[in-house]
Amino acid sequence: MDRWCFVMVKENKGLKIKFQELIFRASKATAKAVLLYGLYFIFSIFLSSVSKYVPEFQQFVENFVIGYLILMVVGEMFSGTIFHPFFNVAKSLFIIFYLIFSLNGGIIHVAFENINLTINIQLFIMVAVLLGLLGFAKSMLQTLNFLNKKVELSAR
Amino acid sequence: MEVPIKTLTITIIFLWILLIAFSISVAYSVKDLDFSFGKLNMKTSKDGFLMFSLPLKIVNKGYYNIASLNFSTRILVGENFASNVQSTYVPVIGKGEEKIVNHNITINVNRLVEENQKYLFNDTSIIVSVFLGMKLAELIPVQASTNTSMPWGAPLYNFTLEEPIYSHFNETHLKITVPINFQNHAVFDINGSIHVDMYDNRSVFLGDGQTTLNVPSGSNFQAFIEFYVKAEAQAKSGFFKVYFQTAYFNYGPMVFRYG
Repeated sequence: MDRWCFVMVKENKGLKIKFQELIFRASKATAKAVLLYGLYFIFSIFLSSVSKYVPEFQQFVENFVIGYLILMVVGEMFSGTIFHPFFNVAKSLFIIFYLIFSLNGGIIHVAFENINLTINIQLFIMVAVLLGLLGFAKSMLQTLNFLNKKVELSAR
Repeated sequence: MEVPIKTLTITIIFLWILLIAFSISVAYSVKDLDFSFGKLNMKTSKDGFLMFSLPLKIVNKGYYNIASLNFSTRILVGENFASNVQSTYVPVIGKGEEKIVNHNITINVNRLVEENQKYLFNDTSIIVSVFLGMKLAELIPVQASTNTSMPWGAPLYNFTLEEPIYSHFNETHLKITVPINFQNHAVFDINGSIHVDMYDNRSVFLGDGQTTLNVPSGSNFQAFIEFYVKAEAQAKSGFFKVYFQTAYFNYGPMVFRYG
């Protein structure tokens, strides 16, 4: 009977810790999401002049922010698990492929009234993709680090 | 492994902030870039070309320099180009700098009327293909192209050869006078001559005449061309072949029927 009570108390304590951890992760994810959205909000004020001429640009940035936020929040919720680095990898790949495909490889054609505008942002895409790859490499290192720690813990 | 991962994270965040800040500032700088055109001036050259000089004012109030600014124009007639590409190149416009460059547009009137005779007789417009290229922040190439129109006044607007006036000259010849008139709506003066060949209904050459042209821009021209044809000639009906020879264009033959 005493032993059963001890197990119950221990399980309750474990649940409480898990719940606290979940709250902490959710708060961290929310804080990060709010911060990112704040940055996007400032960004959109500066770029309102561009959006006036290129209406698709606003949609492009919005879609990017939504995709990135979802991956970031879900990744954060899984932090401390093997899924966290996976979501980080997904985030990096999302940045790379979204920029390449939605920006037409860096050559943007815009028709404004009777003016045809061509903007070559291949340099920007190249730097962004390189940063995406750097993020990808970081995520791989995080995965290795996580697995390494797991092996170390199980060896003890 | 914790330390390299953290270093990498900080580096990535720093580089992203740098890249986004740079992109925003470049996009924001475009707003402070101002292009304006001055008054179009016309010059004429002795070799029959019309030269328009267009002052282009560029004010760069942005945060970055603009490099390799290239302003090009080309005259379009139908689907063909009636002129070569004419470019104006500015290597660098520094931030806060204001530059005025003159862009020259040369029109070969002869080539224009060869492409389409409406430019001789009808007031119309010339399509100018405009191209503007530059490198924002000396890094990001941007190109803009458009077609715009320029009013064109016909040099031989409402050109008419009226019905011939017949009169007796001597025993063997008739004097035929043909009134000729048109309005010069072009921006240039017309100096040259009109040569007219007269034929009868059977395409037999009857005689020719010519008159000199000295028509300032925006003025009317009225003259008579005189022919001396044999009295027995069948000159009551037929056709004229008209040839124009001026400093800007040579055109002909144009056929006008009479009688």
